[in-house]
Amino acid sequence: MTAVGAQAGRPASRNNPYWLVRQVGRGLLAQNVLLALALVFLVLYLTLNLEFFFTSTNLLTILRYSSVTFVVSVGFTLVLIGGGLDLSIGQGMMIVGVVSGNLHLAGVPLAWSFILGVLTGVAIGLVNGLLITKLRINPLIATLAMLFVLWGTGFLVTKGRSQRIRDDSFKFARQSLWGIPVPVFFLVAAAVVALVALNTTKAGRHLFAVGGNPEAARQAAMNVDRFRLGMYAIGGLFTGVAGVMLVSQQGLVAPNSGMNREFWVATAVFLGGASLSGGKGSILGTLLGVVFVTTLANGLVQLAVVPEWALIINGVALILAVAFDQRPKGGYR
Amino acid sequence: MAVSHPDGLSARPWVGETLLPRLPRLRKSSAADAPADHWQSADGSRPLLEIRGVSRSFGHVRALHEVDIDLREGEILGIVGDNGAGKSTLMKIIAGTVRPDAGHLTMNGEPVSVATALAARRLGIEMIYQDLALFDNLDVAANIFIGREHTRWLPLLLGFLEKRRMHKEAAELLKRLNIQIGSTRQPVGVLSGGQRQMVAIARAVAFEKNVKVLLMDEPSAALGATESETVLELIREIRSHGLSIVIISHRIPEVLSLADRVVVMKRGERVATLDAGSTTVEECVNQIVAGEAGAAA
Repeated sequence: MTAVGAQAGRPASRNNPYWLVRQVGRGLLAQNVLLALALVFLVLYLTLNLEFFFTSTNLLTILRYSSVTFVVSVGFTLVLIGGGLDLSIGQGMMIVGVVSGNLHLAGVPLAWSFILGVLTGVAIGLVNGLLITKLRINPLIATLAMLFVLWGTGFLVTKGRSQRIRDDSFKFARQSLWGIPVPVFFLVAAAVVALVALNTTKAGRHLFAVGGNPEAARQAAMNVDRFRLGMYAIGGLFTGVAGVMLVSQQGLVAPNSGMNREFWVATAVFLGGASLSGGKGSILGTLLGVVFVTTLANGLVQLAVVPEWALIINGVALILAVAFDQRPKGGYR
Repeated sequence: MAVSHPDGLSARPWVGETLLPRLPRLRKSSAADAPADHWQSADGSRPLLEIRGVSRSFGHVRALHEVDIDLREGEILGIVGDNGAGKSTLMKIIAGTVRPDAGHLTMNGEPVSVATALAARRLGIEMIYQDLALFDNLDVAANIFIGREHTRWLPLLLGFLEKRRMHKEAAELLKRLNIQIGSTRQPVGVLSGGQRQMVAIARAVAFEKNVKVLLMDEPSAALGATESETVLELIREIRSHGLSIVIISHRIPEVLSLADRVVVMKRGERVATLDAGSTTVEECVNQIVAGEAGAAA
């Protein structure tokens, strides 16, 4: 089942001689293809203007930083497809890092501090899900509130101080395996698991159904609330893994490490074709979106552009992506 | 759930209104008397579905009052009436999405409970809502199989979809019902109104062995002339497979041509049951506008 570019289905008028032409036209207009083209142009521009952009070191750096963002973006994408929203991912990652790092500093075995960190992410997702499905709080409000609560908690627990971690085995995400940064393996694993789950299992099919038309899902005898609860927990799982990756990569337990991450993730995922109205989105699109946003940030830093410009460009990109999603089928009037 | 007034009375009509014209029917609709009614069909066989004394109020609004309706096996029953006559509430009660304040249903003579949509579905009652409850972002086969997907290898939601098998079976189903839809891989969102209606019907009867009653709310409301004729043809086709069908519609001529019998509702009551073959549109409209509950045959 193809999830994104759903409009590119086979029209009934296949006898039309221009059918193929039209299909190709539609294919070119698919959001992911446009995004891929934009990425190619961006890479070309940066390569021509920066001496050290198209080097294996820099490209691997981009991939390394994309990985953390991608893993959390997968969770964000799944939640969006199911008709939800989770703004607490950034602060969730921070809390996961604080839990993992502090457990490690307190002498808990490495594996356990990571596992408990990931479980913290799941727990945050579960609480979000309960707030949304049981207390009927709008996802935007519930997860925004969660963002503040986690933010404050992080500063309270760390007393506002960052703490360096010296143990190199904790900083596994800084290492490379066969010349490839370790986080990239996480990126690949997350992509494969999410792709398979989303496109070949009953759960994935139902996720699209619940997000696309929750009322119809209810009539088809699905337990929409329980399904969404599980969805937020799985989103939290990805937040947990990304949080562990982040703290390991930074080697630093820092209460401000989650700041503004939700905005970058949202930009990437919306660029990748997901929609706030639910039932839409793809892992491939999210991957493209994340690489695009990371490459843009990387390039702007190297171009010595004031960082504020990065924010402005991201805002414009976000508007373009959402406007593209909302475009009327018959064209603008 | 009964709605009570602040003074402790239930939301029933005042005494004068209930007592005078319909005293006999009130008695008849109590559970003990239900089998001995005069709606038994001519050949002596019991109707498939009997609705007896069903009432329902929403706050102070009386949506249904003491409604008795039969549905015979293999018939198409039309339900007509003005807006607010209680047609949709009646359908929803049969489909299990609204619970009646009073009254009961029997199926094949057995009292049944349709407290939930799932219970109704287990009894073989399927409802197609006016909004069709389709998933625009999923393809035709996915819509037909939603919630009942063929899966393998892993249990429950983890199961892997047998997509090829479902596409094949969906295509066979569409062919058997004579539904013209190019490919089962098209997202439902790109289909025309008539095609969407037909996908909804196909989904409702996809598991034919179980389905006995199909309830349809305004199946042709949003369709053009050609498309609605195709949909009506499909409804006749389904009836020929032995299903009983209940249809709500505002288009009287269409109902008369399609249905075997037509029930006219007014202000929550059944005012007439007409034989579709021998009734004119004028008579039908007359009953809708001027019908009286007491005069029901």
